[in-house]
Amino acid sequence: MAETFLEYIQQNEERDGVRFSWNVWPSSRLDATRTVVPLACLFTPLRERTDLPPVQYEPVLCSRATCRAVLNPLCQVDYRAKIWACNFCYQRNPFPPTYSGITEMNQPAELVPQFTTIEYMVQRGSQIPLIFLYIVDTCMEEEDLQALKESLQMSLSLLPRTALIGIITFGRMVQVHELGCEGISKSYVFRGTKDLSAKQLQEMLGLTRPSGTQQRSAQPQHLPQYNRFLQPVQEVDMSLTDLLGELQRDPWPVAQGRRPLRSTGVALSIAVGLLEVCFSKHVKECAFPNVGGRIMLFMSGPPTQGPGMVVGEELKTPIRSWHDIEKDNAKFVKKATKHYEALANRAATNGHVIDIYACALDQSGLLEMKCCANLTGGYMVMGDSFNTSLFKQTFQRVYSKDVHDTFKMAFGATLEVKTSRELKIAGAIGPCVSLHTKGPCVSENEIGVAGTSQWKICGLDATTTIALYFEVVNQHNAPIPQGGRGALQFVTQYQHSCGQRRIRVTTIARNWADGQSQIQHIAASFDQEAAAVLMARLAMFRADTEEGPDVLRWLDRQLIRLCQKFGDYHKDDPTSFRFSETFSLYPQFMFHLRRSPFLQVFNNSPDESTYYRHNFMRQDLTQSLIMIQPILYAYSFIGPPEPVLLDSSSILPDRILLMDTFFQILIYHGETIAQWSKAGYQELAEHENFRQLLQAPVDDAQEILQTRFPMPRYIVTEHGGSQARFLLSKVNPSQTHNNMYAWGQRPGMTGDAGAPILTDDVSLQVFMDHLKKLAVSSAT
Amino acid sequence: MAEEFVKPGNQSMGWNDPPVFSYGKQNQINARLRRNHLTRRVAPPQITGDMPAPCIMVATLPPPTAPPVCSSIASPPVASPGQSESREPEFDDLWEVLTKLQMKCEGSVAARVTGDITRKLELLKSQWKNDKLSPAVKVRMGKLCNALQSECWGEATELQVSLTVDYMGEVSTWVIALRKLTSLASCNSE
Repeated sequence: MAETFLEYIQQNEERDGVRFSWNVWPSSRLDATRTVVPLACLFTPLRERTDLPPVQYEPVLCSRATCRAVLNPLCQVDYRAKIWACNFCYQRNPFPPTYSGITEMNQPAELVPQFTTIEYMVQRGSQIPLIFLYIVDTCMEEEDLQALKESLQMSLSLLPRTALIGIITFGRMVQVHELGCEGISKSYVFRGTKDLSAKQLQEMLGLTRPSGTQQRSAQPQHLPQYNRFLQPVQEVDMSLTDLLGELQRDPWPVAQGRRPLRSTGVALSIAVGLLEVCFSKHVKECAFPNVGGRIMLFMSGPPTQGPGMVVGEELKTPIRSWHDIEKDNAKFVKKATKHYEALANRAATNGHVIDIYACALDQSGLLEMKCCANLTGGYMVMGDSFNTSLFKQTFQRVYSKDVHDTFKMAFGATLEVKTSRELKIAGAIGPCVSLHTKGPCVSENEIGVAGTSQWKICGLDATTTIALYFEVVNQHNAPIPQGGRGALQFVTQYQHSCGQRRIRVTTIARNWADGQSQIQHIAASFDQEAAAVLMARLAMFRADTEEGPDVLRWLDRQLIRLCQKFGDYHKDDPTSFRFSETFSLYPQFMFHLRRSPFLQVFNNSPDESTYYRHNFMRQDLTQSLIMIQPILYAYSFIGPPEPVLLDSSSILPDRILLMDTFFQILIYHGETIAQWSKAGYQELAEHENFRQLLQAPVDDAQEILQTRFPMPRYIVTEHGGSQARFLLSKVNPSQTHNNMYAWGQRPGMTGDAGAPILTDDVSLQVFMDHLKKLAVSSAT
Repeated sequence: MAEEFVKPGNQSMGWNDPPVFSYGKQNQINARLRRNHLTRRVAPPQITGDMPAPCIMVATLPPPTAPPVCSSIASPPVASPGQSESREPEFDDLWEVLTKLQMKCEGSVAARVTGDITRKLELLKSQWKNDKLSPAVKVRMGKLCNALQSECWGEATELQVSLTVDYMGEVSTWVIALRKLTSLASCNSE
């Protein structure tokens, strides 16, 4: 039994993978708009659970055609008459014959109150193989290509033995390799300048359907025509190892002052088309429709020819920057984005995932290609070179396994949300596409991927998190049923990596409260962490179509309104403003969000901004919060490691700081620590405690580095070090070159007041002062 | 089982490249549920209405010249665990195990596959004889062959994967043959 709301929130997240902005819901539409932060939740469909009961039968569904909700602990059950009442539509349903033995003492798992989340393992049909299609750029330095080849060869040992694998290489031309042909290597070569439809590809690769196909049932499963290009790993691992080992750099010479001709657009088009032709359910004779497939694109630079090109051949024309885009001076962006968007939509329709692994010192066109990863649930990995630990280990982790020794990646998920009648679904923001399922619980108001109660997530894992936004539709002054609760059901059907189809069902309920007389209950149920991430996703979604300053203004406006509604203050007296503990971190989150690379594109390339946003829009709450407001821990001789304010005043000479921004892990040695370390005290026996102090943050950093996907960069720096700028740019600059004298400090002394930061950025103190002024003002 | 190590990343190719963790070390953490314990934050004092921390007077003393000494003289740092002395195996012993296994599996696969395996094992032999393999690879190969000899197929597969992940640069041309052999042998023994 939870003691506090914090514990309640945490227990619910662990059990159901859900975090709501409000855990007591305002009971009318008007009240809900007045709470400022929308009623919304972050939902992690496949949150890792080791204790789910094994349920190996089909779920029981409500018989009403417009409902079809799954039997759950909230349903009323008449054990004698063997009837259950759906809690969403109140339809009375008879239990199927197999449930004839159930009683109050002998409940099926799905009625047990603590199994609000349950997973059905449906044994339908034979095991379905997974498909992996590698697309390899060959226009890179020899060392880089060698490193990439080794990583791909290594992956052959990590893939499931029954998975189907194929390989396409590209540079100026695109080559689709035939596998398993004995003695010789064969490939089909395509020009990199001309796009192909799926039909054209089918003809050119000789994948046309045989006529009069009643023989299909007599054919053994492993003789379909795609077999020439996609074969089981266990059949071709050795020959594919050789093929990869013999891959050469793109032979076309690159003239001085020019970029290599890279036909990424056509290569990706061919890959999407190949899987579409072989495995789409739109192909009638297809042996495996709805199969989980993963297209993995490895590129070492931007596409420079053909459809989807992002920059021209000449090096003197640099790739677009944010400045170019704002001034409408980026001539390839629109067309290229359209090309990749079309491919992404096709892949998503077919249930196939597109990953992008871009390793280059300059940009590669992630901005134009973002739909490929974002719509299909694929990964986007950005590195400097394939010959780095960041790429190699991140790539290894794609194939990591969970505690049951099965792959963490899952495929072909559909997420359906059902609501009780007082609620409707406004939309979703995350790595998903709409399934255009209209119904009684779909709202007219649109947020994110809207107009549907079902979404498709082609690729997902245990951390993939979707933000869902709701609308309360109860009219003001409509009576709430006594003790009435609103309910939601999330039904996620997916293909587990072992090939089995599974259905995970989460059903939750929350109390309604009147927004006038019970506002304190609603306020006490606020989850400031969830609210911050939900608002951030909204802001980033807007940032795709609106101007940056407009988004910031909108965000500020929401924050001011929230302070006005839930702060304690006297009108026109800023110093009287107080926020309860439930809201105390929220303004700080908003402050850091405003100056984060998610909303501030200054000092980031378009590819970098795209990469950061891509990661934010899919991670779970804890990781998302780290991205908004990095974690800062201090290590010193005074006591155990403790969290400290993300503030310049936390930077002191006699302590070590560990900062986690999600994308970087940084260890910073204060000035005194750095001096001692240089002097070598850690080598002396009597200073073993100093050695341990130096080691402690390294050990903690390693724990994070070992598990995080993608792998973060690792920075060890010290006072005065150039890399310390990563810390200085993140901390709140409470002390700057403008106000350092106000802190009673004489110039030239560092003292105990922290390090001043050379910036004109607004500090949290100034931000809060303005916020309070605006919140309490009767004019706002 | 597999050697655990942490090596620095490639600082010349990637800025702030993270360290490299061995296969064993990565899987050790995956065995337990992923939990990041560094997740706490501190609220700024003015939001909750607490009194702000008093202004700290600037110290006029210079910083201490040495860190505080241990209260008791600690023993010198212990060498990292798991570094037990491992002898490099004799190649001939390994070769015997591998060729015996290959002969057992010959009947169940196409000639092409047997040919491939033979070719790759020859590559292993030539690299070993020409001293192209590091001691760590040789030691792990010894463990792998012991596992194969004892018919512990699961352990052999794990060792092969760990070799692939940790030392791909050295083993890329032939390690896949070991995977094939292990998988064939384990199928045959069922």
